[in-house]
Amino acid sequence: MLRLFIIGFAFLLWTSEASKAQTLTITGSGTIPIGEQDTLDYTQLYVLYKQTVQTDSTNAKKRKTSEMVLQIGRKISKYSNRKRLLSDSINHAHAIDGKVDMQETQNSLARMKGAGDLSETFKNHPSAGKILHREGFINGALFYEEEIPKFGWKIAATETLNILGYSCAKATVSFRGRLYTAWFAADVAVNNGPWKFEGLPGLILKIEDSKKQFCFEAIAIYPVSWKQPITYDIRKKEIKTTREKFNIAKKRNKEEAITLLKNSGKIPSDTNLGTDKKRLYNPIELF
Amino acid sequence: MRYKAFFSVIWMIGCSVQAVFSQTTISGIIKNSKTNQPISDVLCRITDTKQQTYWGYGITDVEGQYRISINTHRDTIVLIFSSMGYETQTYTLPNITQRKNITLNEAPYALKEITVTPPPIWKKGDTLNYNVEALKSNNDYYIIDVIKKLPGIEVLEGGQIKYQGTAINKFYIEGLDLMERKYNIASNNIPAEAIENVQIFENHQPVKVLKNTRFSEAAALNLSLKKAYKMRPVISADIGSGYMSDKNWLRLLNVTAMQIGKNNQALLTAKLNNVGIDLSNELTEHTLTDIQQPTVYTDLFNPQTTIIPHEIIKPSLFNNSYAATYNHLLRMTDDAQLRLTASYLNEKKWRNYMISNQYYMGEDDYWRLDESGRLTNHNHTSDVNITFTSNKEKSYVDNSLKLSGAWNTSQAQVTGSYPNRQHFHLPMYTIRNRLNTIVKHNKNTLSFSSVIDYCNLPQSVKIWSDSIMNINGEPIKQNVRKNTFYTTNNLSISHSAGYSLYSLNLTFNADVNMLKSHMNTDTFFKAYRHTKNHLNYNQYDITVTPRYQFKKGAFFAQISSPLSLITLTHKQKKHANKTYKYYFFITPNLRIRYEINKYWYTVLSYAYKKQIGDIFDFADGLRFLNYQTLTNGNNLYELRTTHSYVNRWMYKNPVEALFFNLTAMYSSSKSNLINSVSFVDTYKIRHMQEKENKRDHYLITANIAKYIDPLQTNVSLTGNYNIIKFKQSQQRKTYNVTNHAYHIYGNINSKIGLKNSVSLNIAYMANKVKSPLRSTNAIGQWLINGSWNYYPSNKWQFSTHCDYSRNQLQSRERTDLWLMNADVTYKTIKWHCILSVRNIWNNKTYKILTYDGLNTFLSAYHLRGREILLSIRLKL
Repeated sequence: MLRLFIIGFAFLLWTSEASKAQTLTITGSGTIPIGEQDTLDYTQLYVLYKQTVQTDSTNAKKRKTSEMVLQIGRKISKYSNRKRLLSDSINHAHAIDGKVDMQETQNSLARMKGAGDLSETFKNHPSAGKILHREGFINGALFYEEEIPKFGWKIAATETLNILGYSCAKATVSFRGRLYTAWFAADVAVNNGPWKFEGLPGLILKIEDSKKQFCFEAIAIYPVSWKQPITYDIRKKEIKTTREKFNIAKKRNKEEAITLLKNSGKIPSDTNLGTDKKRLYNPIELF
Repeated sequence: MRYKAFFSVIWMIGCSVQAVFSQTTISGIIKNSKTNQPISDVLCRITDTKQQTYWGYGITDVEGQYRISINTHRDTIVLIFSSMGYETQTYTLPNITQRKNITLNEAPYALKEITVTPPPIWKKGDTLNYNVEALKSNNDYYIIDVIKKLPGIEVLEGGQIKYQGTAINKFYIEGLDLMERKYNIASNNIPAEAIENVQIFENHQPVKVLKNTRFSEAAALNLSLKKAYKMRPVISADIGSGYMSDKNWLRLLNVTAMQIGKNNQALLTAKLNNVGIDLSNELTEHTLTDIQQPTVYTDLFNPQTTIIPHEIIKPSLFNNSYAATYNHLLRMTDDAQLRLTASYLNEKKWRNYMISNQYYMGEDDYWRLDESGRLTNHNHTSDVNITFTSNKEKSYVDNSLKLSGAWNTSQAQVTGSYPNRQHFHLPMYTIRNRLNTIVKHNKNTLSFSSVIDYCNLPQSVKIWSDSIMNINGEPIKQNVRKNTFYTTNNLSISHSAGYSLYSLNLTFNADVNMLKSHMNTDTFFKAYRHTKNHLNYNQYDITVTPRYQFKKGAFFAQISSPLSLITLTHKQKKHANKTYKYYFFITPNLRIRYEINKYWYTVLSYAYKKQIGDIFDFADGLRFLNYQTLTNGNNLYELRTTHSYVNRWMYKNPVEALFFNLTAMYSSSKSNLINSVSFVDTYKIRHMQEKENKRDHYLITANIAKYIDPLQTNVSLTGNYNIIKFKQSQQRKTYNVTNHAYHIYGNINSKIGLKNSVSLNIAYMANKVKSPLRSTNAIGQWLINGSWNYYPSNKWQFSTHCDYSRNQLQSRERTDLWLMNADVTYKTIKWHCILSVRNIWNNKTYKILTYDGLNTFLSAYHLRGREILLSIRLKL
């Protein structure tokens, strides 16, 4: 338990350092990220998804649930963790007010407790037709860009499912090693969906792979009439890589966490963390 | 075999060629109509003409280009372009390859109105929500029709609303108190379809200053409107005309206009009818729990010689009624409101009746009174009420000024034992100001409240009769005038410390009265009674009330012990001396409430009360109440003490939609006076007699209600059992009487599929009276009414309603009454047309027997005949 806590805390310290542009030193140890932010677009439609991931492909009971937000703007959309989004906005507001202290850091950590998936996926950023996906790992924050994939969706004409009061049509696709079934609402005239998914004539409200290991389901949807920015945190030490290298780093981060932490120099070298215990990794993209 | 393979290949090639040739491609470019810039990510769909089947779709690229290939033989296709922030465009095109360039107009983005069906009942914090859409039937037009069916909520006959057996303390519309006590106007006139949810705010403390210090056990009811009905005028009107047997034309007009906004609420009603709908009922001021009740002034005469028993005899009401109300609330700031309510009623009501009463005169001798006649009440009233409320976190001010006037008259035309004609003038004028202020400073609260009332009752009766005492052919004239000035002023300071609240109240009351009565027929009574009254009566109270309240988690306790010093003075004009009386009372009371878990709570309370009489106790001159009944006070003053013990158990489970409450009560009261009746010649004289008078009352009442969601059925069962032991004095003899009364009431409302709904109410009431004269078997009364509604389509509705009553008249004699009504409704979105037939069997008489231990009262009422009414209901 202690080990997990140290790893978790060190990881949070690391993410903060990785992303800091303007760091406030606070009493005690540690810093919290008060990064500069770019406003890429403004949210027109806010969709909250429940994202359930089976973390161990061999054990259906090992599941991690995250609340993820899809902010859809005029041009750009962002799919990110709700708790992180909330915490970042509070931290940012406090940084502007100068209200940063140990208590606030603890509050910030408490807000992030159990947040789950902290990755961010931007569509049509940095340019139209592109995807930018980013995530922080123990040995550095990485991001990659790729073309928005061409999904070869097949729409099933007859089946419908009611989600949040919308009648959704069914479509299927095979994407990077997994077969997905999606339910999209033609009444919400938006070409978008959770994570990288899009390409259907309506917003994707639910999508699940055939083995039921990855499931994204909308639990709330509303238009945003006030100015809610779609922000991009500027992390100066973030490294650009390719999708393939990113996925390898993610696998290592999962399976060799302790080795990576020891090598990172972020904790005293004589700290006894034990050795890496193989933790199973179940990637969403199989190739 | 070879041929087969050959032909197969040929057939396949043919098919693919045909497929290639039947493929259609639609392409084009989409631009913004304003900027002429290409729009990316526009969704382009090709569907069948019903827009149900997708044949193909595409999404525009960064240059606004799209290209969709489809493969269908249909002649016509539908092409839909939609994108967030733009108007959707739909084109019906021939199924040929073509280029379709379009421009899209920008539009604010709004999601489609989604119909999400929430559970019928759910709870969030202290708010219980009833979803109206889920719980209403097609024939529930006004919101009161739905409220009556909600489990846990009870609507009494006069329209008062109770939640879990306790009267509500506020009736809100969108969180604002537009109606105060007269909430029947809102509940009877707001259409059910305008309401999203009926909400119950449990333990509702309406005064913000007291929110965390003064615990409230009462609940408030809130009507939360659908979005489409807010901030705009909503007008509904019923216009009807018809015919009743006995050559009477019927008319009906109801107009309701309302506008419910965040800062401005207005409700206007205008009504007229002669179809038996009692409009005075709508203007009733209901009791609100925890809120001080205004003093009620009653008429000095009683034109009715017998009591009208139950709502089944509603069809016995003949009327001609006009009423209008105007209610307006202006929210000046977030915390301050100004409210104006005004009402006008002009209502003529009459009933044709027959009574045969037997009064016990002692020693097996009975005096029988037979009477038949018509009693006509003409109510002509109006009132205006202006209230200002400022409800802030630190201070509270509420001031209400009410002016009301009633110019009522009653006429009775009586034949039978003593034929006569009576004409009552019953005017009543009142002015009332109520002020309530509260200020909070840290943990201390200081409050001051004041009520000032003035009431003038200059009333009179004239009686014409040949058979009863008369003066030279002149009518008997009885004039009575009563003036009252009443004020109560309360100063209270409270301090909260931890879980405790300590408070001290200082109250000063003054009740200043003058009574003057005179009759012109003193020759008969002069021998043994005065026939004039002229006296002043003043009562001044000073009360100090220490109160302690403790609330920790689920436990709440309150104890208080008012100490009152009361001074009475009265002076008869005929005597020179003023009489003084002094009383000192200590009347402690205790209340404990415990929430056992989130479903159950229990309340235990004890109260000790001391009450004293009023000016009428000192009025020793005779007064007529009606031609038959006279009253006087004998200059004796009543002092009544009451102990009451109550234990209540409540259960509510919104998830299971199950509600239960059980109340057990015992109260014992003692008085130094007994209300006595003497028969002198043809008169019944009520007077007070000095004698110990003890009265015990035991009550047990329970209600269970459940909404069964899969069956869309609400079931409720109520039972109560009363034992009252009391003394009755007649002809100067006193008798001990015990009355056992029980009442069981069951109710089922159910929607059967989409096309039917039924409701069934079954009630059985019985009284068993034991007195030294005789012990009766239970005199029972069955009331059963049921209705069945059938909706063959969205446009048509057929309803039938049946009432059945069985009343026991003598030991083996019973009377049965069937009443049946039927309606046919044709509906469109904007209007309904309703054809109603009432009292189809054309039954004419309703009879009922009651027995009070000494006397027997048999009453019969003439019912409205068969009637037919055609009405149009409009919605704007």
